[in-house]
Amino acid sequence: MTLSGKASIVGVGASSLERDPQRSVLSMAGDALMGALDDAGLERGAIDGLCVQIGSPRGADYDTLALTLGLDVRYASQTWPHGRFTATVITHAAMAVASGLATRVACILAMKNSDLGRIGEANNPFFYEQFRENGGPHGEEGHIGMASPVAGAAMALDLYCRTYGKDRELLGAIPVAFRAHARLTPDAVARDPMTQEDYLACRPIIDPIRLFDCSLVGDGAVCLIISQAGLATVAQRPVAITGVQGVRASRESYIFGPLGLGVGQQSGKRLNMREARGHPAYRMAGVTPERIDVLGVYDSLSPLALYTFEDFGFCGAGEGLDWIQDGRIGLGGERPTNLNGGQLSHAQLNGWGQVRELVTQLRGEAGARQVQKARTAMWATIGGDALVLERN
Amino acid sequence: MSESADPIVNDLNRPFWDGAAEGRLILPHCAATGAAFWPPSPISPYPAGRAVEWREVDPHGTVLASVIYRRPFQKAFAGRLPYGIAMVALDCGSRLQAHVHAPDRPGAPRSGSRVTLNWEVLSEGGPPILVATPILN
Repeated sequence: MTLSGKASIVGVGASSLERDPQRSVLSMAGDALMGALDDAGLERGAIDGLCVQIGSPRGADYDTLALTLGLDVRYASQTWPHGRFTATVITHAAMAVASGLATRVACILAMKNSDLGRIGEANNPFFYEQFRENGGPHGEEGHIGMASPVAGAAMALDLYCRTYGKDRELLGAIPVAFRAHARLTPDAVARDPMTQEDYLACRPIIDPIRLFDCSLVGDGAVCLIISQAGLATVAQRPVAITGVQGVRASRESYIFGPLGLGVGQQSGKRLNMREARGHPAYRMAGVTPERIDVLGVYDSLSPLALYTFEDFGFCGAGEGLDWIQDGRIGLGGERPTNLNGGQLSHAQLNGWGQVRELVTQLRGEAGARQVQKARTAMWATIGGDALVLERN
Repeated sequence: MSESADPIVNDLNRPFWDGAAEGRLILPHCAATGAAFWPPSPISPYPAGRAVEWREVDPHGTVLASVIYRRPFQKAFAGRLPYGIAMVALDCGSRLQAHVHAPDRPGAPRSGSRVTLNWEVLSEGGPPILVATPILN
């Protein structure tokens, strides 16, 4: 039995993305849900499943969402208050509709950061994560001064550049490319022009990570409606979920590094090209990297996009900094990526903004940033989780 | 909200912190293979092993990578900017992260440096923490 093709995305919706401490996270979730329902031509009564990515206090829990927004579901699930579980949440919804536990599932990411400090700072509810037993979720060790997710990303980037003898300034190609895409995206939060010179001039946060390597911490919500494929209608412009894989975890995994290279006890052994091209999501969908017309990658910090190109076989281990140059990942390039601007320039929505963009692209509704003849899209992250989406 | 930067000490990691109080670096080892490992676990993370024993290790190692804080994220360390963190591959095979003083100074530990990990108490009443110091040849 395969999950491939059993579930389709039939509706997408999003709230506005401005930072506003006065706006309830439930208001954002409601806007996203009703937007997705209107997009799908459905009423709330058609929804019998709810999969939530972020709960309270950063978001809203599944029970609050259901009672507040008037949903009556028989299948609900929820993951933790960080990112990382985007594809997993959507996979849960696909599994639920494929197995008959539900017919249509609303997947919701609703997150408000404007009244919180940055993660790692004392006025943030996640302050104590840096003291999590056996290390914080991004390698934090608060007692030695290693706070903030940025630190682990900086350490992994230094390790990567030392391992391969690469110039870290080449990384600027990622935020610069995604900013150019954001300038074509009406609801992107950061739309000022950005050049490599701007990137080199921006201030350091934790060396070797700079300000423009960090995503925009903001507010917003996205809703996707996952339907049993057989219930989808032509009017819904459905996008089929043909390949999925959840996030991986092991001693070889570090969430802000490529598989095998991180700030913990990773061996340094990277995936070879055959292994990367054999990723389970490719195999489930029956596609190769060459078939991917539009790519969305997790980019809460710019190095994560770099490693993702390598771990999914778009280029070899250690080749990414050279590979991303010369417009390769831009609109019109060989591998157009994060066409809405990603977390770096569109909005920090844990990647849900990118998945929404992939649906928009496959429907041919992306306007000035439309990739021509986009038929196959992929969501891929450095955690190993992935979605392959295809236009029906 | 408290801004203590104290680590969690419990039955699983107490030998490490007891060693710290004595200025010794004590790590868990796989009893079957003899290999050190980190972080602490009640069972050996190595497939061939199961039982765990704690032993002192040589605090020498090589820096694999490092970072430098240019802005504060914790009050407890705000007065120490800029400070560094180094990821150190100990000669026993495990990796630990350690604090680095004045990382911009010539000779400060960076990738490839040989270092010793020393326990230092940075603030009165605070916990001892590992600090990476260059080995002078």
